[in-house]
Amino acid sequence: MTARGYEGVAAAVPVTVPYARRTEHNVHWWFGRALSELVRQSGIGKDEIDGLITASYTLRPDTAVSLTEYFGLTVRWLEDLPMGGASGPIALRHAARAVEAGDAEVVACLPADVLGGDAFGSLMENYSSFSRDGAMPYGEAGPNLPFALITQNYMERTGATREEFGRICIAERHNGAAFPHALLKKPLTMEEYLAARPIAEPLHLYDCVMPCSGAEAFLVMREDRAKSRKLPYARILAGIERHNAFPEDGVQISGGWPVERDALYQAAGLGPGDMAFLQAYDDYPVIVMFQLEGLGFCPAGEAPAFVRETDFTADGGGLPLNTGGGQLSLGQAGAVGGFVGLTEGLRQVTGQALGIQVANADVGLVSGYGTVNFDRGLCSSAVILTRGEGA
Amino acid sequence: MTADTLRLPHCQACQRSHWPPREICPHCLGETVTWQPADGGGQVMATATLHHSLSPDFAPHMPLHVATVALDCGVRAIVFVAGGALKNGTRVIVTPGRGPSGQEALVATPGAAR
Ligand SMILES: [Zn+2]
Repeated sequence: MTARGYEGVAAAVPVTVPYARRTEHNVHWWFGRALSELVRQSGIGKDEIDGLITASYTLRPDTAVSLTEYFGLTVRWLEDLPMGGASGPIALRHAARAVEAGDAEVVACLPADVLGGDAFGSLMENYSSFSRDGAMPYGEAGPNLPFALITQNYMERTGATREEFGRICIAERHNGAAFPHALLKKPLTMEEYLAARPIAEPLHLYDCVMPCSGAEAFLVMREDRAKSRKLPYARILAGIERHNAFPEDGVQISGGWPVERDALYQAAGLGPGDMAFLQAYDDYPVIVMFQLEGLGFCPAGEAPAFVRETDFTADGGGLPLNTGGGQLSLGQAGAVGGFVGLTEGLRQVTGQALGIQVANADVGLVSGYGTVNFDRGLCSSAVILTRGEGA
Repeated sequence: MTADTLRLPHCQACQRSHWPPREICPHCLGETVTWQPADGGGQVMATATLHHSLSPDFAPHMPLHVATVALDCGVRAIVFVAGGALKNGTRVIVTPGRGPSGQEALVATPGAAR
């Protein structure tokens, strides 16, 4: 299979609404803050937005449809994504195809979630039927249990050590210290990382993201519209998604990226070595290792050695990883976590970084992963972004 | 057959079991799925030791030992481990039992060759 690019399509106006550990607001407020920032920063009126794509775990009983009425939007293209951490790149590729085909002119991509305090436990109680029947009875540990199992199996298979996972977390916190919206801004040392209390061994405190509330957003439109509005924008060279890959694996050792990797790079005419940065989904550091392997930065099973040899800081001259600090610094606002890498990738390729700007960030890769329906994340996605004209 | 025999959803069309439970077989999409006695023998694939729970029911029972077991009948399941941590590759028998807060759960006990 080959993937086809997205002709004449622009992604622009990356918005991050500053996250909060506690919020007195409904999730609609967070959606609304993101939408009003899109309008304010783009100069594109609410009445020009004719497409909407949302992602949220806490919008129920409302849906994307409810939001059109809530915000007074009249759209002709509407989609709601239940893919959690994979939803950002998927939102972009779906919206880009709709714009390319002429089904919509301007698509607002909006995730928001409200997940501080008890909300996280309630979400996990009702996350999926398989999780309820097959995973939650075993200690009600939420995602920590499946990812502890995945991490332990990976360590056993590859010899990965806690220090190697720690290198990823420490580099992200270095990047996050410069990012204004990060909730965790204090640099992390290896001593602190290793001394952290166990949560679900082999996972310890700094391997786990902190549930919080937040919203992100961006717009997808035709390039000529972005140019005429003088908006810095990115083009999408390629995009892939793959769900429930390798179901026969007893414990997950990969996402779906190996299935789609060749199609992704062929469509872009580029390889992993051409990427100025990688925005990888980082709910747990082992999943970053899955992406390093699955997206071809190193062979399968060799991410631990690659991590030892590679500088992941945004200003270190190696492979800049999660240049805004990732979810390990920002906190994880539910499905919004699936958009963190995308808005940061858009800022980087358009030269609008809020924290550290990667040098020569002309092309970069954004990857997503999510939805632990039972014992593994089922959804994988990735997009390759490049700087548009005038950015 | 005794009360502690493992029972799993089993497809009458293709004669394969699956887990977690479904009304439709994931292998052949057959719709005649019944709970049948199954071989509880299997092998530990991965382990975790929980120190934190979202539920106060489990808090007094930490740490908890949990594992992924690949059963010889071709399904994988998350289970409690009886009697402390096990290494990957350990042979176990999985039976229906109770978790530390009394709820029904699958429990793996080490030993017993195939
Ligand atoms: Zn069947």
